[in-house]
Amino acid sequence: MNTDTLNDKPENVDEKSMPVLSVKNLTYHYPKNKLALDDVSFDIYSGEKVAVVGPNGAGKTTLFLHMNSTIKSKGHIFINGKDVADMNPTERVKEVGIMFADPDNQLFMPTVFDDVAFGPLNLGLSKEEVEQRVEEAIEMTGIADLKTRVPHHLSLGQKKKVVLASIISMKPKVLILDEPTANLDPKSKRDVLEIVNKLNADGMTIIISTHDVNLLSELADKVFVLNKRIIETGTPRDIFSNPGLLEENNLEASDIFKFFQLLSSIGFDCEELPLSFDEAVEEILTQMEESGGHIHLHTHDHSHEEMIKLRTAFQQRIERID
Amino acid sequence: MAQFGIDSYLYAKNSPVHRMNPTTKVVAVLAMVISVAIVKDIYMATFALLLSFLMILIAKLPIKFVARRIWSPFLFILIFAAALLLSGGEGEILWSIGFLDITKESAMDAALILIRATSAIIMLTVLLATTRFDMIVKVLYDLKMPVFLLQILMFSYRYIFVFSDELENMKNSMTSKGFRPTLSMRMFSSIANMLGMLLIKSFERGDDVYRSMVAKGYTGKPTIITKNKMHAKDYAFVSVAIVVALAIHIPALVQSGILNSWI
Repeated sequence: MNTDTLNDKPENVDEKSMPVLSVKNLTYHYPKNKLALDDVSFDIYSGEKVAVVGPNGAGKTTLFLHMNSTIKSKGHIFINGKDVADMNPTERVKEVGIMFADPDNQLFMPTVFDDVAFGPLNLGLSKEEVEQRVEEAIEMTGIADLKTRVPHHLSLGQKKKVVLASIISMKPKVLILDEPTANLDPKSKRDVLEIVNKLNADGMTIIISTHDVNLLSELADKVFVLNKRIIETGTPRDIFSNPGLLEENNLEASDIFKFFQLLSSIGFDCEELPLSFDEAVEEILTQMEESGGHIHLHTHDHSHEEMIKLRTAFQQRIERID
Repeated sequence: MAQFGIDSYLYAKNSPVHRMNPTTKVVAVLAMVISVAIVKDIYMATFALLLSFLMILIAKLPIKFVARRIWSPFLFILIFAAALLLSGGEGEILWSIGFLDITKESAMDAALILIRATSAIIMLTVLLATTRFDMIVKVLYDLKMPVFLLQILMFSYRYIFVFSDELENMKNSMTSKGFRPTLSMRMFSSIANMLGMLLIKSFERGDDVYRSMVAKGYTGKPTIITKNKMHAKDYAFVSVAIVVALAIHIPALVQSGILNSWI
C-alpha cells in the first residue's frame, strides 16, 4: 500500500484545513463472516474529485453505504470532523448525497418534479424554497422538459439525470456517485460527466466509483484502488502506469493511454502518456509544432518485438478481466 | 416497457373530461360511486349506468378500451350476481331449474348489484383513463387521505412497471433458453421458480428503495407539493355532482316513507 501518498492533501488545500470526509479503520463483514472491507482508511479534502476503482465485489458500494451510515460497522467515518453515525438523517443528507447504480431504486415518486422535491421537503424547507431548489437542480441537469413526466417513461440516461437532480436539490457538500456512467450511451455519459464536473467546479466534493477507465481522467484527479482494502492511491496516470497493480486488481488502462504506449515503442516521444482524447490531441499538436508540422515514427531492432509484447500484455489482461 | 393501460388515453385524447380540474373530477366521481354503490332503487341504478355511458361518450374513450378495462372486475361481479340469483329465497318464483328456484326478488337483487357495480366501475375507469395518476394521488393527499395509504398507492403505481419489466425479462430469458409453455409439471415448476425469483427481487428492491429514501432524508412525513386550485366553476360542478348523487336516493327514501316523515 502506498501509505506515503494515502493521506496527501491536494496542492490547493490549506495546510490547516481538515478533511471533509475521513474514513478511519473501517472493517465490515458480510453475513457468513465474508470480509467486505478490511481496515480501510483515507481522507478526502473539500473540492476534491476522487474515484474509487476496483474489481467487482471489491466493496465499493459497501464503502459508499457506510458514508451515509446506511451500513454501520467497525471503524468511523467523519464528515467535517463529525462522526456520520452520530448525525440525524436531516443533518446527514445535508452533508452527503448518494447516487446509487440503479436509478429505478431512487426514483419512487409519481413525477420527476416530486422526486426532485422529495429531498428538500425532508429537509423541512418552505414550499417556495423547495420549488426554487427544484428549478435550479432541473436547470443544472438539463431536464426541464421532463419535469411533469412519470419516471417509468424515461430512458436510462434521463433517469440518471433525474436522480442527479434529486440529490443536487439537497445541496450536499459531498456527492457520491456509484457507477454513474454504467450502461449509458456516449451522449448521456458525456452529459453526466459535464454535470459532475460543473458541480465540482462549484465546490462540491465528488467521490465516484467506475469501471469506465476511458473516462477516469476526466472523472477524477485522485484514484483509490480498493480491493477490500485500499491497495493504492494516486493520480489516474500513476495508476495506469503501474501494470502490476492493474493486473492484480482486474483493471486496465484507458484506450488512449494504451495506444500511446504502443506509439512510444515506435518512436513517438512524449514525457507523459495522454490519458484522454483531449490530452492526446494536445500532445500530437505540441509534437507537430515542435517538429515542423510532422510526427516522426520509426522502427528499430526491437520495435516489432515490443509492440507484440505490449499487445499480448493488453490481451492477457483483458482475457483475465473477462 | 409495460403499459398496463394505467396511463392509456391520458395523452392521446383530449375531451372536456380530460381537461376538467382533477380535484373536481375525483370528488365528483367519488361522490357518484359511493352513492351508486348504496342505491336501492333499480331504476335509479339504471339511470347511474346511463350516466356512466354518457361519461364514456363525453370523455371520447373507445368502447373497446373501456370494455377491456372493465372485463376482469365485471366477470367477478357476474359470478357474484349469478350466485345471488341462484340463492333463491322467499318470493314469487319466476323459474325453477332442478332444485334451484329463481325468485323475482333474487333476480331484482342480482340485477341491482350487477347494474350498480358496473356503473361504479365504468365511472372509475373514466376517471383513471382521463386523469394522470400522479394528479389523483395529489388530490387524495389534498383530501387528507392517510399518508401511509397514499405511499402504498404511489409505490404500487411506480413499481408495477418495474416488476412487470423484470417479469418480461425473465420470460424472455426462459424463452431464449428454449422454454415453451406446455401443460406439464415442468412448466408449473418453472413458472413457480420464476414467480419466486420475482418475489425475492421485489424484497431486495424494497430494501434498496427504502435505503434510497433514507439517503434523501425520509422520516415518514408527507413529501408532496400540490398546486391544484379549484375555481368557481369547479365548485359549481362538484355541487351539481353531489346533488345528483343525493338525488338518486330520493325514490328509495320516498318508498320507505322516511322522506315523508321528514317533510
